Amino acid sequence: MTWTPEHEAKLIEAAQQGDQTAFGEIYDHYLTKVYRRVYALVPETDVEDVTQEVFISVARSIGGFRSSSSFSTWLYRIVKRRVADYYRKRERQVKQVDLEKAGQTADESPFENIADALLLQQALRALPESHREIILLRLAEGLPFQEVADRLDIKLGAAKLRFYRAVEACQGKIVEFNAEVTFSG
Amino acid sequence: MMVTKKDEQALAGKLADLTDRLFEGEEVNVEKLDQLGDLAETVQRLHAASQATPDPAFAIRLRNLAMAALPKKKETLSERLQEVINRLIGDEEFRTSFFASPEATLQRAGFQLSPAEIAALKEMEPENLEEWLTDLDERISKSGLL
Repeated sequence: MTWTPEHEAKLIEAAQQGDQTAFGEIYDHYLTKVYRRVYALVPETDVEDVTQEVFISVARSIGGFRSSSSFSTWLYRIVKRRVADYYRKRERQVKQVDLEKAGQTADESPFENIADALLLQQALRALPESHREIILLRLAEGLPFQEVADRLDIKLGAAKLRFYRAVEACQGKIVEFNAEVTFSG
Repeated sequence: MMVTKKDEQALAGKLADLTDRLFEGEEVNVEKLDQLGDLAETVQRLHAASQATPDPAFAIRLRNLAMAALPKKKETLSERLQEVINRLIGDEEFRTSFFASPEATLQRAGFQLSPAEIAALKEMEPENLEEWLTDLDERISKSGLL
């Protein structure tokens, strides 16, 4: 079935009444999108844990969602909070990501190696919200630029320009963090 | 070199096109996109992250966990009563038994109603069932059960 805002609204309403089948359909639709967002922001070894925390939070709090706002915006706010919680907990244990130690190759990682993945994650997290969001919408969620523009309520040209500047900023952070590792190593 | 707004828009367009090609699965040689400099490579690396998919076993496990975390549906009085009423209308044996012995019949059938709900049902008489159903909502509202 084609996923429309009307269909989504019906499923949300049913899930808010405790309908597990409706919730399951929402879960199926958003799992990969959420997983990819989390994957872009936390180390691979912890992606499943954080994704799990996101969906448990969604299930427990869906009753409080109000249709006056977009469900995906509400959902991604939960992703953002759970990722922030993850780093808050982690900071207590490790003050700085040790990119040097993480230099070994990960067999099944889509990144060349774990260090590369950590560097990208660190760079993405250091970006302003508007830059990080447009990168995630286009690359992690795979939305075409017109949909990205609609979601952000901006024109198509403005969306492409913002994406360009976001990637430029991300590139700058990668160079900056790489230099820090080189000098500290 | 000074990059004008027009140049920037042109590069933004090229970078956007690059993402389209990546999503179409096209092999892209980033070295040929020298106008974009390192940005093409960064986009390619960021795109690689978007290819991650959850492990199917994890997806199923989490689906079950999340569904179990969904707060249970709050059963409303009207739904419980509706179920009993439907049974009274459609099941003659149940109806006869209910009018003879309401509590025992409800218990046997597995209906767990509160004393107030049972009292509301007991007001009903077999000969005026239809009339009783007609103004059921009003009587229940007045009794504060809804």
